[in-house]
Order: sequence, then structure tokens, then C-alpha cells
Amino acid sequence: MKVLARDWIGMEVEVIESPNPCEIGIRGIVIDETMHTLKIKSERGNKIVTKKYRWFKVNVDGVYFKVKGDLINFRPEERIMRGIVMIKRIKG
Amino acid sequence: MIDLIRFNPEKIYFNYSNYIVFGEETDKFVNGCMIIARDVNELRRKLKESDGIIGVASESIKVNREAVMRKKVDFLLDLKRRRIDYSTVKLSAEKDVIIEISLSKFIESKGVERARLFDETKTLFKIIKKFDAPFILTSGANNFYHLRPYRQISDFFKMLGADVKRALYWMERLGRRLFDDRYIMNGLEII
Repeated sequence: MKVLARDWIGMEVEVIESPNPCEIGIRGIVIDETMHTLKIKSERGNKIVTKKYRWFKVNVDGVYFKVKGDLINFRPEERIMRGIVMIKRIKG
Repeated sequence: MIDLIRFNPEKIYFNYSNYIVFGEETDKFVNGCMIIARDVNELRRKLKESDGIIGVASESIKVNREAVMRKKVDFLLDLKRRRIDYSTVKLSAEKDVIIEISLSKFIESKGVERARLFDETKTLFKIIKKFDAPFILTSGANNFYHLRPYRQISDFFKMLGADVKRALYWMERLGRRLFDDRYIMNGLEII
């Protein structure tokens, strides 16, 4: 759950679902993050991927999460706070 | 497919995967805690004592609105004289509280009362659609004779303007939340 509230720079990420088929399979380490995009350092170079409408596979402490990009579609500094609020709202 | 009922049946009927039973103890199915409150103080007192899957049933608008704002509350259960206003539906969309719309109140009523229920339910569906609030269509059965297959329930509410596909989506999400260990919230799962 902390995956929403933490800084994604330095995390291993893979794009598993995207409306753009060319983006599916982009895998690497996040080197930069903006409000709407992630910059991923992959084998084929640096790729900028939009967060919205994508699903990402993220490795956090050995556990793999499937995260919808819409949940992280905020500025990094805002997202950390919003992530904490979202975690508090989770039911069950 | 999950149905919300008010009695403990002997077995599962009509191809439902599970029942959530409110108001009675059950070992065979999922047990929900039903809170019936007439005022806000009573609701607060009962919420402190309750745990698990919680559904609130009240005829008061204030109580329903207060219930929706509570993190503990999972469902707004359906009653014949339940009152839900515009702001309650909007809040339920934000706070992820599922609004139950049941068939049993229509079966139990007749005449003018049933016509009034039709009118209210139609308006409620319009507001739910506007805010994309979570809602499910259930039998709300108080006894064996009120149980209905989901197809019948959905066909009936489709006539009143319900978005049946959306209701199915919310029901599947509810099922995942209750029975899937890997599901955390909408948009976040463990692989």
C-alpha cells in the first residue's frame, strides 16, 4: 500500500497495459517523474511514459504490485501526501 | 455474484456465488453487521460496538448522511422508507460506500406506496449515474420467498433506468474486495 505514497524514482517499473501498444513491455528504472509522466531508463534508452490510463508493475521490497497510473497521476510531492490520504480511506 | 439478504438460508439458490447475511448469525455465508438507527447518536454508539462488514439501514436522511461519512460503514442498506438525498449519493461516491437497491421492498408494497417507490428509485438511479456512485442490485430477501435470480432483478431495475453493467462491475469489485487476498483497492493489486 505504501507504493502509492512513496517516491518512485529509483524503482523498477514495467508497463503492462497501455492504450499505446508500443509502450507495453517497457521495463526499467524510473529516473524522473513529473505530474503526468514517468521517465524510465530501459534497455533501449530513456522512455517517457504517460501515467494516465496505464497499468504499471512495480517491485517494492520484493513484492510486485499492479498499479493503475490514474492513482499516481499527480506531482511527486503532492502524490506522496495524496497517497497517504488514499491509504487511510481504503476499506477492509 | 453476491446477494445481500436478511435471513440465513439453508443453501445457495439461483447460482449466486455467496450471500452476505445481515441481521442474523450465519456460519455458512458471509456475516454482515446490520445497524438500524433512528438518530445520529444511536448510530455512533452502535458503530463503536460493531466490527466487520457493516451495513446501515435508516429512514432518516441525517443518519444515512452521517453513515456514509464513516470509514467503518460499507453499505447503505435498503429499506421501504429509506431516504437518501443528493449529497449522500455524492458522498458515497467519494467515500466508497455501496448503496444497496433491493427488490424485496417492491414485493412487500402495493398500490400508491409501490408507485412512490418506483418514482423514488428512478430518481435515485439518475443521481447515482451522475456521480458514478457505487451501487448494487440485490434481492434484499427477508425470507425464502423473496429470493430471486439476478437476471430477474437486473431486468426489473433496467426498466427503472439502472445501469446494470455498472452494477455488475461494482458487484465484482465487492467480491474481489471480500474474497480476493491480492486485491487492495481499485487500481492497486498484488501480483
